[in-house]
Amino acid sequence: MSSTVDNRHVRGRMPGLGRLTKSLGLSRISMRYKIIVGGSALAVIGIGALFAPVIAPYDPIAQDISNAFSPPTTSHLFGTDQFGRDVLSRVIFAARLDLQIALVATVFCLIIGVLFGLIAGYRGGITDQVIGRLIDFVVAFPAIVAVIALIAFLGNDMLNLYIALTITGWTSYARLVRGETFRVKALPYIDSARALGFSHSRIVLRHILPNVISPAGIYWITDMVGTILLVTSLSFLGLGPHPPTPEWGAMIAEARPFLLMAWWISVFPGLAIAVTGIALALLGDGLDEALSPRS
Amino acid sequence: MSLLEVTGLVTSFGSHQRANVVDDVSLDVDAGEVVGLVGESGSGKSLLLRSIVQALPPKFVVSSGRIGFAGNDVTHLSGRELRELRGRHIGMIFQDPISALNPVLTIGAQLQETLKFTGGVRRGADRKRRAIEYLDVVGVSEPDRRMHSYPHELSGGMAQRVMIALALVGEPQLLLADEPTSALDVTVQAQIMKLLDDLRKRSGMAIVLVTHDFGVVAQACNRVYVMYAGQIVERASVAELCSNPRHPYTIGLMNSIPRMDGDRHLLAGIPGAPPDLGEMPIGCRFASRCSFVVDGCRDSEVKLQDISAAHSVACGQVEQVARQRKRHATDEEAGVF
Repeated sequence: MSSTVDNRHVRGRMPGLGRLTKSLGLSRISMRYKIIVGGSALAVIGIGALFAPVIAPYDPIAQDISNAFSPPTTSHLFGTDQFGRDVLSRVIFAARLDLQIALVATVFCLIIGVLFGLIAGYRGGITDQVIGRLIDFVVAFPAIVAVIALIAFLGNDMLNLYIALTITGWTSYARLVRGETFRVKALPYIDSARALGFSHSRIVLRHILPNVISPAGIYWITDMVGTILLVTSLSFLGLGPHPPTPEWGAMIAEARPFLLMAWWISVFPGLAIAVTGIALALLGDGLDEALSPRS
Repeated sequence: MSLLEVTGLVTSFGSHQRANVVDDVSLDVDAGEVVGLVGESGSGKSLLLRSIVQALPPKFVVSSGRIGFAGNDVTHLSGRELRELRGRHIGMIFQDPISALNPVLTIGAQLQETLKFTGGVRRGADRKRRAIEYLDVVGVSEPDRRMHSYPHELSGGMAQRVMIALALVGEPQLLLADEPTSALDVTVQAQIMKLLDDLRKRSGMAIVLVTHDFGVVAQACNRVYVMYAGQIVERASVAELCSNPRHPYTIGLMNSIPRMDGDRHLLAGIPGAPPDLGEMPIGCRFASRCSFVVDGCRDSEVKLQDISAAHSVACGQVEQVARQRKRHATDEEAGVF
């Protein structure tokens, strides 16, 4: 589809994309392999999250104090925590929450960022200046600091978490789409769409959007990695879902005092974060290569 | 009254140091007529066309003049009226047809979209049928199969045919063709010109043909405007211009065409380059490249003046040019050249 859409130059602008797989020594793995491995790992995690109540062997918040700190056994594959809760079940249920947050927050960012990027790129001039300054203003704050400040200001609940993540996260999409829109709107077929008497909204949505969306779509996958890391970091710091709700970052934080005597309580949620992140990064990287004209 | 009447059009670039890229141009086109607009790259031909439909690139504005189309002044139209004008009354086709089509939509989708929003065809099935009809009219082979093709799968000539079909959907009275054949092979050029001529005969639409190819002009046009550095320097019927070009620039352009007949000699060309848009000379803009130049040329602006009923030239040295051409002609007959 996008054989004529040149997004080579976008690669350099994507934070984390490529770099992650490269630092893991995976850069020479072929693009098809990346998509298959990343996609299927993600599918397994996704199905686990979707059908958590069916798959999880135990209730994630049911305590069994007599069986606390049990190391991994056949009945508790990932062991139990300080309250005797099954770590495997908690990891599976936490996937549900973490993936949901990552998905919803990045979709909001995608929609708002693409909208602003299209408007800034298409209108240009003063509109572009205003949106550009707004982006600079948001980017000036480190994301995690900004999110913590916003949650502290708005209050710690799910809706406010989404709001904070969206406010800080839309800018990359807007920049990507703005740049692409600038390039595409100068192409002859936009002139010919104008010459055919199409309205601005029709030109933007039907003729520009499909030609600028693919870099943003690829970035979206990479952005989910960042968002999962951000959300788990936040809840590690205590700014997230309240206990006993299972959440990877919170699980690691709760297990911190017992790290030396009961490693399994924190290692398995940590592994879940790492595997999810790598799967998404592989998928994003593979898709980026598949869609860029060099391949 | 003419279909299109442009009077005193000035199009300028930038807000502070204004550069007039189209300067005091007047042009008229009658219904059913083919008018050629000839000039070097950068002479303002394309910007003149775009000014007519008010579809200029950013930072270009029509700063004065009147653009009359079918009795209305285009410069006073609202956004909605302009879109209506562009789609239904004035069609436009472009130089590079493949990039003038949206790369991610099939040509069928693009035709049907245009039929829906510009042609006002409501029923989906009708749109599909009409789209195939249009492809057939412009000579696309196997139109029902081609509907599913993407622009990059088409040859240049095929894409230009699709572009023409798109422009025809609104049944325009005027077609603005911006170098429609420059990007095509010579053989395909001839086919496209023939197609345009057939369509013109059938529908009676007028065509403004921008080109730098005098061959195309001689074949297709009724009248010609020669443009240099944003101004019209000569205006005449095709027959008159070809047999009796009077502006030194026009003569230079014609001498730059290779000829198949007669003696072969080095192509003449025109020395130098057009003046910088930011610093236009006060007098004749061609003065620095002209071999007939005298001091008077640089002092005051040269206006377009009628030398006969169907021929106007903007040159202060018309007589001298004519005399020298006559001498050349006798020299050539005598075999001196």
